[in-house]
Amino acid sequence: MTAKQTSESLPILSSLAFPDMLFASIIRSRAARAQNNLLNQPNLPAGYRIIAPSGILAQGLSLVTASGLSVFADKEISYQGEPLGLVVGPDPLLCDELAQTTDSSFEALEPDLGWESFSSSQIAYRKTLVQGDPEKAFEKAANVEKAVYHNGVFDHHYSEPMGALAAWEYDKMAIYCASQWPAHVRDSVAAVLKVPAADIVVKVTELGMALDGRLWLPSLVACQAAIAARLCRRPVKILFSRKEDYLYTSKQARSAVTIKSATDANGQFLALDIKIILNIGAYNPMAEELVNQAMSAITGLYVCPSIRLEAYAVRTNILPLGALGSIGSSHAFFAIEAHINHLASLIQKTPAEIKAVNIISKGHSNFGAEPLESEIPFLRISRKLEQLSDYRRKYASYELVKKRDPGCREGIVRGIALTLGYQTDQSFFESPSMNTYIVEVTLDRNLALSIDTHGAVGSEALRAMWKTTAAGVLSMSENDVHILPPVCNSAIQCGPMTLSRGATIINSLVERASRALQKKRFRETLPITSRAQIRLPHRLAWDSRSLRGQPFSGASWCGTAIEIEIDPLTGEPSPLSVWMVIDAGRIIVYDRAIASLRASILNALNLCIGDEFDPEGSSDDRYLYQRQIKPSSYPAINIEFLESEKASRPRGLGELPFVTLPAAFYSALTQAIGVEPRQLPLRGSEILRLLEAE
Amino acid sequence: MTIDFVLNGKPQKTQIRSGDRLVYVLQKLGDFPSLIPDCLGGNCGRCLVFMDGRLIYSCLTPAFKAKGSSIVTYEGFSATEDCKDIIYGLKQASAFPCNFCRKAKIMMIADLLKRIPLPEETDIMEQMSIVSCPCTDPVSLAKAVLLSAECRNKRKFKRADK
Amino acid sequence: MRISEIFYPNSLGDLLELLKANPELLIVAGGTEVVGMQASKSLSFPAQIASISHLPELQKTTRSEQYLEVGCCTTLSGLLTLSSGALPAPLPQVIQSIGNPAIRNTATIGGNLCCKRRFMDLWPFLACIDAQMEIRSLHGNRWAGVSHLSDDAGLPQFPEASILTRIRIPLHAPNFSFFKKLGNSRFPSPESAYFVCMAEISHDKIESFRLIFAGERAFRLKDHEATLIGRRVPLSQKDIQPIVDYYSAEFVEKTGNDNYQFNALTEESLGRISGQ
Repeated sequence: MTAKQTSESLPILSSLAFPDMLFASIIRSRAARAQNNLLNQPNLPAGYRIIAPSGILAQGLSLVTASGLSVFADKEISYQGEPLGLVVGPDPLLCDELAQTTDSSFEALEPDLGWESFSSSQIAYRKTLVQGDPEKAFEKAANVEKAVYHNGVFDHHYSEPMGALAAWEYDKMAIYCASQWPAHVRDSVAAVLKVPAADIVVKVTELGMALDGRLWLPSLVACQAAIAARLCRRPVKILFSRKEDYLYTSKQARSAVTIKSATDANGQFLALDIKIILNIGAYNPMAEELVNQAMSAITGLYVCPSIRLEAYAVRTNILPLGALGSIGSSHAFFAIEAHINHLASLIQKTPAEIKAVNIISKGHSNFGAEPLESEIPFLRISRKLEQLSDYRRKYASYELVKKRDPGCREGIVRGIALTLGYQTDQSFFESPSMNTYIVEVTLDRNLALSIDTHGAVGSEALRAMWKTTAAGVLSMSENDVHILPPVCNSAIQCGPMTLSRGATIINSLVERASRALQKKRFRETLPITSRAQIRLPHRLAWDSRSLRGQPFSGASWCGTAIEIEIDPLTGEPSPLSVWMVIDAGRIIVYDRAIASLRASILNALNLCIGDEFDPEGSSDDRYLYQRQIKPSSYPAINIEFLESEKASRPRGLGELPFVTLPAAFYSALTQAIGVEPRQLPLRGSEILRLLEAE
Repeated sequence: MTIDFVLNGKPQKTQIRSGDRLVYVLQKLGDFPSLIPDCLGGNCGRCLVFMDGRLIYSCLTPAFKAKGSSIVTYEGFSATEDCKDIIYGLKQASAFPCNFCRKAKIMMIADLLKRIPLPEETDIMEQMSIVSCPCTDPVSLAKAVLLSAECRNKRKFKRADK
Repeated sequence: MRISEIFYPNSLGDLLELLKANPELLIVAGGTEVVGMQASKSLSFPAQIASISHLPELQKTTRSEQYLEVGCCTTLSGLLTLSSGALPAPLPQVIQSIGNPAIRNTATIGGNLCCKRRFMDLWPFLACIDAQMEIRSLHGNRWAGVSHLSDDAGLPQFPEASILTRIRIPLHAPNFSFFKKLGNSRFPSPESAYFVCMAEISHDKIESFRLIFAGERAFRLKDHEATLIGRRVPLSQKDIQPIVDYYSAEFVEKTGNDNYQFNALTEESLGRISGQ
């Protein structure tokens, strides 16, 4: 690697090619649940071969990664589309055709598809927490409400389909792939090849928008490519087609959240009984974390004396489902915000008023967490947001319209909603070594600074932030600062790039390393290198497993308001305006932060109006006509940052739209149509049906 | 079968199969990093080329349709002054498309400015639907188009003066 | 990959000879439909394909005082670049709602009309304004209304061993038109459809009336349209409701779809006619 090869020109996997490179296509299971699977080897053209589990084991390799994931289904098949083997050869198009026509024989079993009611064998993880005496509180309460909220399965729409390239580079195997967690890739590949981790070099390719969908799945594909490269002794590339990516990569988990609440006349919570069920599909190595994050988020912002909280990650025979940004918390935010909306309509208050009486304040906590050390800035945020969006006036007038015209026959079908949310950079991985982050900065002889993060590089906005930080500390031009392509090639454990750690942890490490380098400048001869390192557990403030500590340490706060309009003729909802007020600490590159948030808002809105993925029978071609907001119909977007102390450190903000917008969109939709559909997304014809019923 | 066409100004003669998409045929003919066939459905724009002067999705075009045509990829377009104007506009507007769609968005802007030298916001928004990648803030991108147009028109106007 | 034989006919005559020899011949002009719906890297085609977009006689545009005549290989972008006023009022808007500029650079009017799996955007409009099409086969050529591209069951149909060569678009469109595109996906999805209602209102009387809903199936009640002719406008809500109810019941029976959107659109269009 040279200083000139920077992350501004990170390779794109699709464009990467090596001499003598072979291509591999995945042979996939046709059954959702089966056993005694056996691939029927067809007659292959010369130069093509099939790699099956039996052959892999015969070569002394392993089928299981370091984290216990199976690279190929061997005896048992747990979902339709599960990888069974590979077809490897020189022509990728022919490999695809051969993989699709390769048959397997198996004994089909009845798949487990039920998840809202499930058997104990389907539970991947469960957890129950109780505080106070919920049963007693419910007995006494006058207002008790119960509702179930559903969240659909959504595709990540990655910038590039999933894939990996494995090639021998001298005595090491290089893996090129777009992963948020290069160390996980390295350890997984080392485990299946049964070699030391030091023999594997992971070179991260352009990641694009990953939304936590590239935490562990790229490792599996990397293992498949590595096995093929090892057995064929040639570079091997696997690149899913967009259709394959749509049909077979992990999606956001399906959720059902049942909330039973007891409230007083002001809407203050007296008791909550919450059951969260997450359908994680066939498996998900992060099931525990999904559950813990959802549990943290669902009561995180609000206080209640008596809570019973029960959460399950349930296995079913569909493709693995998991996170889509914010690792589980968006489900929780959606449900609790929708429930508050429901309560508001019952007691004739605005949702904002109900939130105000329940919001957690200084000195309070749930489940024995440490009392909140300082007030969270929601009062400031919601005041500003109400002022910007003219929330109160609009809310009142849309309520009036709804009362006057319940079926919305006058044609004005609008709604406005305001949602609060947060994102944290809290650590959640078990192993302390998985929470180590390192940044190395080097000032070379040409007075150019290179930043080496040892981890994945995220968005353009993030790179700009690191450059600005380093350039600011060292008083140099940003043009002279380069970010090296991330290469995971040593024994150093690097944590995953998730939960906005690029903006928070890595940025502060860039700052620290640059300061250390500044001290050496003009004293030592060039090149000068300095390094900053952090192990997160040492400063962990919140443990989502035990729900102990300070849950909001390092959090960014946000309020989102959205105004939507329903076409009374087609029922299609369209967002008119979005307002966000954010407190995310110090904003380093203001324009980039705004631009990046705008793009995230549009992505999150596409999820709200888009089509749900149907893992049990999704049409093959559905991905071709995903519903999207047309650029000509983009809403007006207004983003404001609350002024933070100059010294406060920057905090993450990229996930805030994904955390808050679905709940806000749902609430605005509910106000517009006057009915609570209790699920997202909804088609136009369904909305018209609800309107007609109203 | 064999077809002839002109690629970035150079005559080409190549073997194709009836089921080949144009983008894959072009990829085999040289180093074209701008061509990243992805959606295969005329959506992502990562295969955009000019065919006989019109912007098309080469993934959505059967290779046999290229017979006798003239094709320009981003690599052929990038040396032009028009391309430099667009890059200037993007930079000035702080619009930074990701590495996956940057070239596609440049081709998209180039096509718009060729057809409508002074585009209005509605034209820009309509054109943006050619490349679906949502990485770039639409406000900055629209600003970039207007700045590119200004730069391009200034340059062409000055030349006409001379 | 199945290897197909590709033909590049030199003239329309050649093409008709080819059609005679190979009735299953796939005629490709823009190719957006036949390629767009295939997700695999390699494309599958029937055994014989004819590429026709290079034939100049299929790209000609002529204009008379009554109509515009366009060749079937005219691209949708090409139609939009015709001088303003060359197309009847709602048509430019309809064309602009199709795909995006790059798709329209490739897609042709002929391809849009001849789609076999569903009705695309242009058909309901052209059927409403009684556009004509020239169908050629070795047996000769004939002109017919584009409405004949729908069979009695409302499914797309096209005569065998024939080719649609020209489309004649009347320049005078009815003075009332209301349309709505359903579905907001980039490509026609199973839920996508077009609702079009056109009427000629003269001296407070309905002189002509057309209402077409077209997606995977076409829905039109020609007989009922005739019963509305001669009615005086504005129509009262008492007049409108029975019409909506009749259309609604027929819609459910003939298409099997739910009628929430259809009812709202029918009521809206009749209300607008009354508002004139």
